[in-house]
Amino acid sequence: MMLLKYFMYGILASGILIFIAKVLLYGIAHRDGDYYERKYGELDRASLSGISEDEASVGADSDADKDIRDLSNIPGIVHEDEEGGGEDV
Amino acid sequence: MSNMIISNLPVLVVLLPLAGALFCPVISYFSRRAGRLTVIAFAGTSFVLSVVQLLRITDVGKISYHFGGWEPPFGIEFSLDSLSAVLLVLISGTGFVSTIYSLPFFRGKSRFRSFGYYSVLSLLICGLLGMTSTGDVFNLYVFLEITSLSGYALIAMGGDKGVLSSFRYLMIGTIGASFYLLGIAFIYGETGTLNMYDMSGLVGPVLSSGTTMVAMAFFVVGFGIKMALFPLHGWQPAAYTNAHPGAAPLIAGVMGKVPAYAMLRFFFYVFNANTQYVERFLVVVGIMSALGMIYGSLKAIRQTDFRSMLAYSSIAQIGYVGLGIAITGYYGLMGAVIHIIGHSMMKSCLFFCSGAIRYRYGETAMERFGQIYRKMPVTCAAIVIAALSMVGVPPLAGFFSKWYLALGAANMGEYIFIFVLVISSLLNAVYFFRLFENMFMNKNVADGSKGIGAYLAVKAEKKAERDSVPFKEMAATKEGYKGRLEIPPAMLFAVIVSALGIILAGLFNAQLVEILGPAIREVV
Amino acid sequence: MYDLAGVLLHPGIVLILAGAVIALLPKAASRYLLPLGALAALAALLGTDKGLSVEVPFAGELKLSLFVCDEISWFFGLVFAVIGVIGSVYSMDKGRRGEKAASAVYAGSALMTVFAGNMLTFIIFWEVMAVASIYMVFQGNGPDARRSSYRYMVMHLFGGNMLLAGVMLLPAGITAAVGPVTDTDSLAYWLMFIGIGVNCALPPFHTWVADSYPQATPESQLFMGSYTTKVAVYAMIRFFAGTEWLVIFAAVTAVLAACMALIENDLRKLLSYHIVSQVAMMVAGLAAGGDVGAAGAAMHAAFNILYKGVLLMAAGNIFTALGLRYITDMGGLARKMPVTAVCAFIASFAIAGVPYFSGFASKALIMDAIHAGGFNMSYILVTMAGVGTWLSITMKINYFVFIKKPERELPAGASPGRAPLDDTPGRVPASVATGRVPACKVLAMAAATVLVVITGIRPEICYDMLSMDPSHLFAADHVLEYIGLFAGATVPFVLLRTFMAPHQGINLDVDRFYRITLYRGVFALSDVVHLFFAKYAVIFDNFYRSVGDALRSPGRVFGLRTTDSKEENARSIGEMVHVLAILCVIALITILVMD
Repeated sequence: MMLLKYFMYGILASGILIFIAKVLLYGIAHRDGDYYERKYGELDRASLSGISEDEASVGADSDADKDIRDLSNIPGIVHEDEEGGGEDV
Repeated sequence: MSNMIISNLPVLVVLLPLAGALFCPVISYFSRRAGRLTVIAFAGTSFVLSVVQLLRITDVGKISYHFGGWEPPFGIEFSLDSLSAVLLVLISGTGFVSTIYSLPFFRGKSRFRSFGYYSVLSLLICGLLGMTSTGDVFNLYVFLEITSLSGYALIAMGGDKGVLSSFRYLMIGTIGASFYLLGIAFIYGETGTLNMYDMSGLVGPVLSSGTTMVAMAFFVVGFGIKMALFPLHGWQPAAYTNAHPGAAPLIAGVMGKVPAYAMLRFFFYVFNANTQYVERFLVVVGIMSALGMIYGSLKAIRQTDFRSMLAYSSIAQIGYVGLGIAITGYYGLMGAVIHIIGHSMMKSCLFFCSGAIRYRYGETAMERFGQIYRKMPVTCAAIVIAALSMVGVPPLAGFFSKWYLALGAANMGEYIFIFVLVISSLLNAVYFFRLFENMFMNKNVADGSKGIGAYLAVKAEKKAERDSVPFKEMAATKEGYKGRLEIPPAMLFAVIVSALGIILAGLFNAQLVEILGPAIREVV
Repeated sequence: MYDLAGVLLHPGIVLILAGAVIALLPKAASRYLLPLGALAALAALLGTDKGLSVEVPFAGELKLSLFVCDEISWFFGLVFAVIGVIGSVYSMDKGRRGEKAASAVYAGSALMTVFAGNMLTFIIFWEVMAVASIYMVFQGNGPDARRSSYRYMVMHLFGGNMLLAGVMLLPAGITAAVGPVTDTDSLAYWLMFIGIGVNCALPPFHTWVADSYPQATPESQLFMGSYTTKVAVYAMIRFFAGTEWLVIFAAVTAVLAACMALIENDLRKLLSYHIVSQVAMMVAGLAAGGDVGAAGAAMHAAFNILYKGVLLMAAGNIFTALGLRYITDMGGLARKMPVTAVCAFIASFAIAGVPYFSGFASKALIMDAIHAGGFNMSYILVTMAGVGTWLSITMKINYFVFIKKPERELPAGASPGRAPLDDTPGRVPASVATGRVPACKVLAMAAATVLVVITGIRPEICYDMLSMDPSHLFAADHVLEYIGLFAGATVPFVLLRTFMAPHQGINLDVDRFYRITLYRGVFALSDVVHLFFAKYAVIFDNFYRSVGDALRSPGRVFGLRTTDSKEENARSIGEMVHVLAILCVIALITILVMD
């Protein structure tokens, strides 16, 4: 008799679980395989850590380089190529 | 003879690099290589002597050296305790390693460039050592200026962009130094002395006066500018990014920290940090530091240039030191000091590696660091060690400073600081992870023919052609660096030594804390 | 001074040192070094005197307490060492030095953590475990693994920091002994709980398990599944045993995670969700309180390591030999891989808790503890979770993977629904899937299965180790209860078997709520900060420029025309002097006003 009691419990438990899983959870949670790819969109595909080329240029360097410009027309500054050489004694 | 050396140790440590700076141009007239070696030799001797001095201080406690035999407070004094001694070892060590590290950048360069760089580098080392050793407030200003001027020159040597970055730093830095000078003037007016120890005795009664408050405010601003404490950091990212790659480790690693140490000295050893007047200023410093930690980390995430990322990261990390100063108490202060030491090593290691990558590949943009670990395994290992230490992974050095700071904050009941520490280290992990991804996974393999090494080789070859002399084979060719080791041995030496330093500073943290203990306990 | 020999013979240190050696020596040596290191650690463990206490000075007055042992930690240590050996044998065919070194350090740190005597030691090795496992996930298959390791890193650093912060706030702080945390209302309690809960995969921090484990290589997944969560269970036993509200929470988690496993199509992800479910059962047991609950959790953790290990190895074998990942592509594999099928079959019975298999023995203790505590609802839920295990593993895997004929014959290595595997060297390219399982993997799996069988038939061995009484275990009503339950549970499954088939796709978990938002949020914040300061910089620049202009040619301010020459522009140094002069004036005025 105990065996039969637990047998019925087993059917009941199994049925409930299958319902929760395959009906409820599946309905709520199941999506197409590329769900996150679509959500991340172009970001994810463009670069490794998810930052696209355009996005990367927004915050990068621009303030450090803000007014650093080409100095070739300012007199008095010695540029790399102009130096005198000498045998490396 | 050895007695004379021992008794003059404090001076020798500081003045030997100065001698090197003065001899170098003269000797370079005859032989550029000898000129460079002179500087290296003097820097090395200074390092050895600083270690001897540290050992002596662990024996006898404090050392005091009176210049010219004049007794303080009339004469200038070098006053050293274990805190300064440890920092002196750190500065002279990093300086010595930097002088060796810079060798490959100057192979075949003109006399002017060669001795110009090396003299100024040696002056920078001298200035930093002096700032740490001195016990006189105005003497500190003198060495501060020596440091700053050498810094400006070294940053300007970093190329066209370096010139403008340096100029901007010069403007802002001079303002900072001037604030400090004005502060000295006011405090001199109040106490009548320029000697730090003397001042600490005399400043008590005048602590509440308006002049002293103004002086303290000026000190905060002055040192804040020099150490790039948020929001006084504007000059720093461009300066660190565009500095000469040989000098960047010293500039980024050490030159930003010594003003923080000076602030520590002032607020704890000269002014008594436990009084409510000083505490107000420390609260302000704390807020600036906390904001800087978040700001620096957030900005670093967005950088594509490795050096800029490190520069913004330094803003955050100097915030840790400021935080420790603001927390007061034994743990807070110990955390600040350990972080000064640890972060110097971490940042200089990272900048050594950055310069090495630039030497070999000419790249500083992280997205072009693809697969670098294959050709430069040791460098990449060093970067990983340094990065893990910055995130705070035990048993590396960074874990201990984070931990001491958290402990200190918990003891003082300042939980918001713990929160900021946690957020900051999480953000640290984010931007270093991007670096790792690029180094280990990016498919765009870097191209070796654009490196500085290749550039120098091409120039040397052209010159040999012009002068019709046989071209001496260099390790670098126009295709890129092809030596036996991944980078020239001088640079590899620097990378390995600094990475080892990070590991050892972590493993032997107990001994380090023991040595620093007496000095810190004096003021808590 | 401290006992150097004692430190070096610590099984955890042995493994960590082995990892360091593996990292430094050439690749070929690592193949044998890892099993050797693991064997050495096992030997060290078996040879250690349980009463030993090893302390190492650390910083100031602080000490690392490296070895403090009682029944529970010994038990955990033993099974950790055993699975270390099995796992290292399993990895013998792959040559990845970095991964193996990380595995050794990881396993070693786990051993250090369970034998840690104070919070300081505990936290240090907890963090080292996190870093090593981040690296192991990073080494997985392709770009997905990298991104996954990124999320894993953020989650675990968050947990680690929470734990650190929590410990800092404890009254005894970092020097506290590893013992219960009682003050439920304090911030320290909750911070520590979150920190350990992350590793224990308690919702909402459970998503990393299913996210990252399938991305790692099968060898790494075996290691990771056996250590992180189980060390967290150990931590729960030490710190939070007897927390009553946790019982129902864990019980619900167990059921829901089993349901997630039931609808999952990726085989290794299914097993990962199931880890969450099993761990939740352990937590329910220890939270119910008492020695029985703690022993039950410990035993269930140990047995889980063994039979879950077999299942992970089986899934890994399928992946290695056939390149298959999704259940929809599998079927009828019993013919192709008979040994794997048999081992998986045995393990699946054990994991569900069929009488005379090991899971039965360990779950009995947990159920006893829950029952004795009067948590009736939780009792029912945990039983249902057991049924869920039966359904998701014993029924689903055995049927759909091994028994049922596939709908179509797939060439070995192809996996439709997903692009072919990344061909980067070191990973298992689809083209290399030979259809044959390497001998070392079969050996490892078989060894683990033997252990599963032994612990099932003779659970008294383990009961004795934990001082528990096995006499009621095989009582007739107890056995019949479970036979009846499982028999009954089979019926709906069989009747609905077509409905039960998994489908390709992904099943979103709670991380859908923060995964994109957090990512976008941090980067957006960074942008905002930058734009704000950029605007500020522009304003300042304009101001600065106009001040400079005014200083250079003051006449212009008043409308007087002056000639614009190059020398004027070059006088920027003079400008500096002007600025300083103004500063000095301000300072002087300040003094006059202040005093």
